[in-house]
Amino acid sequence: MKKVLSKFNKFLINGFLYLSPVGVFILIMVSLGLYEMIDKHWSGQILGYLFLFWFFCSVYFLLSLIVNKKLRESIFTRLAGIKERDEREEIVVGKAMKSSFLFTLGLLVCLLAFSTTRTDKNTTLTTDSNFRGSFTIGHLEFKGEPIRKYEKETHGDIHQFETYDIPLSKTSLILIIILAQLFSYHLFARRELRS
Amino acid sequence: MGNIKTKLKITNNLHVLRAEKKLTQQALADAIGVTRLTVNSMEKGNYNPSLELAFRLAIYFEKDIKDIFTVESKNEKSIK
Repeated sequence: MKKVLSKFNKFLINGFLYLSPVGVFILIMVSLGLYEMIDKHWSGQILGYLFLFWFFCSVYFLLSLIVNKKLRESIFTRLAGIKERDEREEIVVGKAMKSSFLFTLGLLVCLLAFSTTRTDKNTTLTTDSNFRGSFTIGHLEFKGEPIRKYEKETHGDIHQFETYDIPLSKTSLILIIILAQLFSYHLFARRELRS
Repeated sequence: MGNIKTKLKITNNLHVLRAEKKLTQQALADAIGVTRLTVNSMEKGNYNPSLELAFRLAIYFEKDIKDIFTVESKNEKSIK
């Protein structure tokens, strides 16, 4: 039973890896609005089924990464370029991981602090069309929409306010954290290796 | 029983033993199952090996651990 499960596991993971070009190709076609061109053709339908299978495999793969320690280690060790060839390198990896973790934690605490603050931009439109702006940080607000606009009229001037909250779920921010973690790990590992 | 809390400095004569056997760092590293950089770090005194690796070195050079590694403290010199 264990052998069958292992083969099934391998089949789905290989399915994800080898069908990734198909998945990426279809995603690009859809984003460019070109998929309709091949959708009704028999090859388009086969690609559609392959994409469906790839999507299923990708979900399985992502769940496996969380559950399967061996798979997680083999993938991320290669991705992060971690080398543990002997005891000294194991120590270096451990020290660099600690420094990298603390660095990323510091970054996340910083982002958390920023995410709870509000940045206001006050644009005052006057008759001579002079542009006045102000930039304030420090209003604690835990809930908020991505962008809010409101107007206020005082002494004949129209004040337009625009509020921007920093969205933590932004892809770019997550990417920055991942890159920061990889960069800091390599930086600290190199420093440890030199000493 | 003495209470040693001062930091011990461990030195070794690996480079001498290696030279006696006319070995390269890579050859020694391959023989004891570590990387060349680790041998280099040990020779420079930047890395103190684990007890297991120290024994492996001792077995390889057919010496006692004390003949390879010497312990020095700030107060006393050369504890053997």
